[in-house]
Order: sequence, then structure tokens, then C-alpha cells
Amino acid sequence: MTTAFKNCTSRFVPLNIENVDTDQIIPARFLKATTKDGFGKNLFRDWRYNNDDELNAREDFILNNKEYSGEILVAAKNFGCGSSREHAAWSIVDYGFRVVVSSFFADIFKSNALNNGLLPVQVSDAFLQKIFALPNGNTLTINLAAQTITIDATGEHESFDINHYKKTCLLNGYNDIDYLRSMKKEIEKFEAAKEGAVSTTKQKQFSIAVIMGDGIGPEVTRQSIKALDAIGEKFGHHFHYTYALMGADAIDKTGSPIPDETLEICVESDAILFGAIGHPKYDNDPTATVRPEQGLLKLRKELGLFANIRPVTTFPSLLHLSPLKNNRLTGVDFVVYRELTGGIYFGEKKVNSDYTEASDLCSYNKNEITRIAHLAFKAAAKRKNHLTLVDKANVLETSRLWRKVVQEIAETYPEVKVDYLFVDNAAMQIIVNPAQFDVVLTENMFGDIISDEASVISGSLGMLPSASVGTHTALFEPIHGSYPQAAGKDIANPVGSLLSTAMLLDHLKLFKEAALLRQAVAFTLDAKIVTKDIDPINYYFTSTVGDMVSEYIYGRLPGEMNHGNIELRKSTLI
Amino acid sequence: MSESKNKATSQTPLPTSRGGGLSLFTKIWNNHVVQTITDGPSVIYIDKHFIHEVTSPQAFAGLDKRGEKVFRPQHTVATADHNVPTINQHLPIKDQLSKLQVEQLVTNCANHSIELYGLGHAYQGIVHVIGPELGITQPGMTIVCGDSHTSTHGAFGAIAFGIGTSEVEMVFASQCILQSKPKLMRITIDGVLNEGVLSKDIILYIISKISSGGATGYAVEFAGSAIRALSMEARMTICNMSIEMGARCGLIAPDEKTFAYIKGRVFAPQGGVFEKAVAAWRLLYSDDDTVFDEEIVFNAADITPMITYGTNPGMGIGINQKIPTAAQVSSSDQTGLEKSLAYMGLQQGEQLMGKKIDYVFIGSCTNSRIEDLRLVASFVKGKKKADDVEVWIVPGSKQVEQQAIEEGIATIFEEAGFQLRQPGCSACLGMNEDKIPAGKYCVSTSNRNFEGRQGAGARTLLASPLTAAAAAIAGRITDVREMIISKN
Repeated sequence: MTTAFKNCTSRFVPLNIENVDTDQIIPARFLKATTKDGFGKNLFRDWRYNNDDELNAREDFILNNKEYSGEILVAAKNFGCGSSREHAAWSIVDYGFRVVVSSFFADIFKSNALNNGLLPVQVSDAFLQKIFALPNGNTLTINLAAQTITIDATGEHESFDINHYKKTCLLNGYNDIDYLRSMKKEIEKFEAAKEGAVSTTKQKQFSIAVIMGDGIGPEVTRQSIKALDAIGEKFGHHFHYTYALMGADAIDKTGSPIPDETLEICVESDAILFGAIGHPKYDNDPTATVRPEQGLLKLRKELGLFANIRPVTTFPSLLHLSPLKNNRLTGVDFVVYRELTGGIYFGEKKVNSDYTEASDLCSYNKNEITRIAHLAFKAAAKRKNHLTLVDKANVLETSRLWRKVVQEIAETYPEVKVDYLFVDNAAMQIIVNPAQFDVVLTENMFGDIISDEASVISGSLGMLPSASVGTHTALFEPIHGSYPQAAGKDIANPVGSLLSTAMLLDHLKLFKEAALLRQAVAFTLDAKIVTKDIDPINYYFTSTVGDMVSEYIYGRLPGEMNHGNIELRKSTLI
Repeated sequence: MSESKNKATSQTPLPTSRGGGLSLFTKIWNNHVVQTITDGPSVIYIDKHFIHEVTSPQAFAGLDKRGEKVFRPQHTVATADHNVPTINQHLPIKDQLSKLQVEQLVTNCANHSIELYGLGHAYQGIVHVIGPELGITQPGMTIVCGDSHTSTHGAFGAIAFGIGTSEVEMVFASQCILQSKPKLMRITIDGVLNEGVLSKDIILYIISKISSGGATGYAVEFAGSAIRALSMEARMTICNMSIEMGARCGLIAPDEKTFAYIKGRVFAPQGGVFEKAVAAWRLLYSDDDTVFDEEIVFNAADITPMITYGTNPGMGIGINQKIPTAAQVSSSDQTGLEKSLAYMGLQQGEQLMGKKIDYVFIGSCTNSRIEDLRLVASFVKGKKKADDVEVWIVPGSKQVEQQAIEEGIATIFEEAGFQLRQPGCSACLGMNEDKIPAGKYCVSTSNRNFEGRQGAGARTLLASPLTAAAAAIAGRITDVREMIISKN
């Protein structure tokens, strides 16, 4: 609420100057304030004082003439032109004016005035000249309800225009901001229609493109869908899944490893949940021109997925599976940011005519480095404030560029400690002392090697998630492949996919939801509800692990688990 | 000629129908109306909200008072530009009030999860330079900022306009704003520009013709072959100064140049998403049968390098012309002319050519992009500034600064005796230390020549970067065309 405006009868101050701009009303040097108060004393500052000296007032300026006073300022045409600074309206109000009369107002000033209960009254040139011609001491009356301005001495009057809505606001002291805040539901509906993704106060809707792919892809991804459904029910969100084809599955059905429809679905979704692709019939046929992997490369390219993110953590109950000595595993929790679209994998490739010489060009530009570096620095700032750039700057020009760019960007994240490791040393350090890392940032090929090396620390490839992020739809997938030998047997480890789904939830800014899913996974591991790769003797099926994760999310699990009950899908709990 | 004849005689309709009667502005506007209040304004959804340190603190305070968070922080981008120093930006800001404003911006952005490109950040710069440069500004968007030169972004075919701090708070709280639909004006400039004439001259020419309030209440679309021929940077200069003729906003239909400019920028859509976006952007033009409330046509060939002599941007003349006399202006403008000339220390009927000047400022959201700096550098290469002139070049952003160094432009400036400073709004409005002393003449590539704008008592002459560079070399107001021709 602001103060309501109804009527005003007052003497006026005539400022017969045209094109009074907002720099005159309040000079820029007085805008260094963080509150709305106190601008009145600097109103028309440079016209009021000589040499900016308050003791040296300019007698010829109307505001310094004690004969003139009142709540109405009358100015010549085009008042308030120039800058959008609302400080102009604040200074006029703070000085004590409630009305400005002119034959023409600049747009932004007019709306700023109205937002501060200051009434701009636009009159004809002729009427304005009549006012200027009045002897001092005369009063004007402004009646907002009737939309009239009257010269009280003569009774001459004119009506003025004001938008009906604004008039209602002023008469009642309503604020635009209160109105807009009352519109939240309509605004959210509008956003939903515009973006195709609804978010109302109660229920958030998300569209997820699901690419199950080949081999064990479908069975692990199904566990993630179950978990997402549980999250949706628990938190009141709606996940809308659109299934799309890719890989060998897509080649079999459409002839293409990635049909256009899949690309479209991915582009239009909020996130992509991806299983795995690849099939031995292509791996063993070097002459195949259409291959499942082409689908993934094309998708990465189309979505501009320039960063691959792989967290590496250890689980207390699985330490014995790690190839490293357990005393080196305490506190291992880092994440590798690998650049995905540049470097030697995408550079120019050459072979000579008799195939006795070949070369691959490694090139990077600043932009490619900058965008992933910002992601990595932001991640570090939310984690342990430590970033390690892995390069080979003693040898490679591209590595020196990486260092230069990262050093520049580092200045904008002063809280993040940055160090640099050559890739050979980094490869050793990951084995010798993996707990020293927080965020590891590196280029494409180094990242390929380092992230695979890091992935074995936790003990099972089946456990690790990843995200590929670009400027648009991000993709989430377990790091394991399609493992065709296990396909259809319900024995693959779904944890990699489930933790990828947790990253997906983080990406959608559903942090509480992501945390609950991770908690559910940790619970199943602690409860030894694990697949064959983790415990070859007392193992559970893929779908059982998935069921337990969902049940945990629903909150339907008892405190104590009876393994006899859940073994081999005989559970009475589910 | 033959083409238009063919069209006229042909009975077959054009291959693609561009009928429908909708202007570029209306198409974008209609896409963003959440609700129209009967007999009142519309609730308009805002796609991008840029904020800076000077017009945002009171808006954040309003939210904080109600314990509210910014409704859609992901649609908001912040930078520090208005009051920041342009030397030694790595040191703490000396001016305590400026420092406080910048620190408040940092705190406010952190509290409300807003992306901030603050002082020292590789993306920092003048808000209207970095938006396009980073690919944040895109066709078809609605864009607002608590700064009147937000109209700049209209060069991409967006509705972009300046707002007050109360409105900044409204966008924070609801991602919407209340606006009445403005009237529509189209300004068409056909033909080919003369050598030495830049887009800055076009807009100064237009404003001199229609006056500093001539487009108040209108959204202005710039069209015509001379506009199409301009680069994106040059188009931004035109839209930037739409506000100087009072327009709510200025805009130009996007075309291949627009798409090529956006492609590959940091926040631009990538890959397939980009192609999809371009397909939608191609529909953003005024239909052939659009009826505008006002249409004005100019001939590009009539435009010469321009300079202003008075205290509003409408008081401009061709570089070879004389300042008008009271007899030559309308009676209502006479007092204004006298007051202006008294402030500027100039006479009616005086020739500006040859007049000695003291400062040259090349910068501001109007003319501080890399193209402006390249143009100036190619002109001044091998020349030296006049001894008694001080020349400040203030790049629009950290990225522009970096490019200037990498391309060797910085060295050219150094050899010419020009000072290359660090990014910010600088002497355009003199909020920081960069002020022109009282009584001194400054040829400035900025956008406003108001009394005291560049410092109390400072006398501003607005011109293009080339005209400013020529003045820097000669120490006097000069017709840049003569220097180009003599060089040739």
C-alpha cells in the first residue's frame, strides 16, 4: 500500500524550462544510495547552487525563491526525459511535491511518478501558459476522481487523462507490486504454457526424455523410473516421461542410431535419462557403417553437451571391493569435470597416402575452456572450495591456454583454491592419495583416461553416475556400458543409474529430492541389498534393489530388515 | 528497379505470404501477455532482467522487507557498471558510497541466487554490452533493466526497455511488469551511407529531425536497406539511442546477420536447439500489410557526420552546418536554444568546425563495442593525438578489453597517446571519478549531452567514434571525411 491520492489544492512552483531531464532533477553523483530517502535536498542540485556549494545558492532559481512554495510543480514540455532513474521521482516527492503539471511527460518518468504516489498532470500548451502567466500566490486544485485541474481564482479548468487502472490504484493507495504478487498463479500458468513445463505452487511438472538403449540399459533405467515415481508421489511433482529410441535398438527399428524424433524429444525435455548403448554385433564388425555409438555422439553434438561430470565417492560397506588399500579411501569424494566436445578427439585427422604417417590435431579456444571452467569453479564453491586443473602445460600449447584461462577465471572465484597438476602426476596421485581432490577439471583426452582410472576406486563400475551438461537439456547416464552378456537376466547393478537420477534431480534444482534418493541408495547398500557384482553369493536382483530404493523413498520400510523376507523377490514387504 | 516492377506486374502472390497485419512489436508483445486489465495496462512476462548496482538496491530492500525471494532468479543477470572505477579495478573501490553499492549488489545476488558478473569477472561490463556479447540477448524476448538504454537490445528483434526501481522490484517479485501497449512508429532509412558516416550519425540525424521528445509514447521499428546493411554492433547503437527521442523502445527485425552474431556465444542456444530457435526467429518481422500509427522515411544519402551543439540529443547538426539562430527555430524552442547555448558557451549561427576541444571520450553503451574500437584504431593507426587533448577510451566489457589487447588495438591507442581504461559506464554519466571539468569541451561517443551529465559544468558534444577520433587527432572539431580522403 502507498498513500492514497484524492485531491490537492495548493500554491505552485513554476519551472518554465522545457526538456527538464532526470540528470537535472537529480544528478548522477547522488545516485550512490541504497535507500529511497533523503533525495529531496539534492533536487535540481546543479541549478540550485553555484559550484555545488550549498552556501552559494543561485538566487535566480525558482526553488531558492522563498516567495514560491506549494505541493505542485509546474514545468514546461517534455518533463522528465532521459534516464530511467526513479530517484528523480523520489527526490521530487521527498522535497514535498505531490503533483507535477506539464504539457508533456517522458514515458518512464510518468510511470515512476505514478509508482510513488506523485501525480503527473498533462495539460494543453495553452492551459500551461495560462498557469505560467498567473501571479504568484495563486492556487490550483487537482481532483483525481473527476480528472480535472482548476485555476481556483478564475475557475478555468481542464480535464486530464489518466489510465483507469492507475487512477484506481492512486485513489485507493494500491500498489502494482501487490497486484502482480496476487497474480502468481496466472503467471505460473503462463510460464507453463510458454515453456511446456508447468510449475504451479503445489505441483511441479517435469518432462524427462528416457532413452533406455541396449543391453542392460532398459532394466537399470526402469529402476530409476520407479524411484522417480516415488519421488514424485512423495513430493507432489509430476515427472512426464517420453521414451525415445537410440543405439542398436534404434537401428533395428528405424535403421538410424538416432532418429530425428529422438533428437526432438531430447531438445524439448527438461532432462534426459539415459541407459546404455552398444551391441556385440557391431563391435565385432569393423565394416559396419551405421553403429550404435554414432547416436550418442550426434546427441552430444546437437545438444552442445560440452561437459562430462563424474563424481567419485566410496561407500563404507563396499570398501573391500576397492583395488586400493582401505586406509587410502577415507574421505574420497571428488568430481571430475571433463571437456567433451573439443581437443584431440575432434581435431583434424590426417593420414598419408600409403598409411605410414598419421596425425591428430589438438586444439581449444578460450570460449570452450571458459564455459566448462565456470561450471567447475561453481561446483567447487559449493563443495570444498578446491579445484585442480590437470594438464600438460610443460609440453602442450593447448594446456598452457587452459592454464591461462583458468587463472583468469580463478580471480572471480577468490574463495576457491586452485592448483595445477601435470596429467602424469595426476594419474599417480589418484592412486596414491585420492582424498586430496575436490573438483578435477581437465580437457577431453586427459579426462577420458583420468575419469576411467578414478572410477575403479569405488570398487564397481556399476555404481558410478555421470552427467553431461551443455547450455540446454542435460543428459544423465551410468558410466557402465550395455553389458550385453547380462541383458535380460535381472542381475545388473542399477545403482549407477539411480545415482545418475539423483544428479538429474539436482540439475532440476530438486535438492531435497536428490538427497533422499541418495539416502535410499545408501540404505540398500548398508542393508546389503546389492546385486551380483557386489556380492556374488548373497545377491539380489536388479528389480529388487530398485523396489527397495522406491520403498525407502515412500517411507514404507520398517527399521529392521528381514533378509529372509526379501530374498529372491519373495519379499512380503513389497 | 526491375525487381519492384516485376512484383508490380506479376499477378501471382509472393511465394511466402507475409500478410496478417501484425508488426514485429505486436508479435512479440502478444507472446508475452499474461493478462490484460480492462481499461488498463497488460501484465507482460519478462524473459530477461538485467540489473546493476545503482537502480537495484532499493528493489531488493523491498523484497527483503516482505521476506520474499526473487521469483525467477534464473531469468536475472547482474553486473556492476555504473559507478565502478575504470582504472585499478583490482584494488578496492576508493569511493565509499560506490563501494557500498557494489558490495550490496554482491550480497543481494548471493541471497537471491542471481548470476553476477561483478568487478573483476571475465564477463563484467556495461550491461547493454555484455547481454548481446554473451548471447543472453535473443530475438523475440522481452528484456528490461533499470536503465533507459535497455532499448539497445531491441537491435536483435526484442522488446527491450528501461524501467524504474519500483518496476525492478515488480519483476523480482513476479517476473512480470504492468505496461500499456505503446503506439507503433516505423522509421525507414533507405539508400547507401556516405563514407565516414556511421550508425551513430544516423540516429543523431533522426533525433535532430524529430526532436528529443518526438517518439514519446511509441515503440519504434527501424527498417530500410540502410539499416539492413548495418552490422549488429551498429544496429545496437541506433536502438540504444531510441530513448533519446523519447521512444519506449527501438527494435529491428532479426535477419541472417543477427543469427550469425548470436551463434556460438556463451549463453546462446547450441546445436539443434539453436537451429530450432532460428526457425522461430525467422517469423519475427512486421507483416507487409502492417499499419503503423506513424511512418517516417529518410534517405541515407542525406546524412553526413553529425555533432550536437546543445543540451539535449535533438540539438544536432551536420558537421559542416552552423548552429541555428533563434529565427531558424520554432518560437517555443527559442528559450531552450538560448539557455543551451549559454551553458555550452556557443553562439547562434556559429560554425562548430575548427572549434578547439579539450577531451575526447570514446565509450558508453552506445559506442564501446569491439567494432567501435577497431574502427577507431584503424583510423588513428600511425597518428598522434593533439597535445592539449585528453583522450579516454573505455571499453564496454572485460571481453572487449581483452580483445583490444589481443588484437593489438591497445598498442595503437598507446602509440596515439589515447588512454585505454577498464570497462564501465565512466564519463558517460560521471558517476565515478571520470568527470569532465567545468567549462571544458568533450567530444563524446556517449548518448546524452544534458547539462552537467559528464560532470558539473561539462560541455558535451555528441558524435560518432570516427568524428571523436578525428577531433582527438586534430584537437579541433573536424570533418572526418576530409581526413579519410586526404589519407587516400
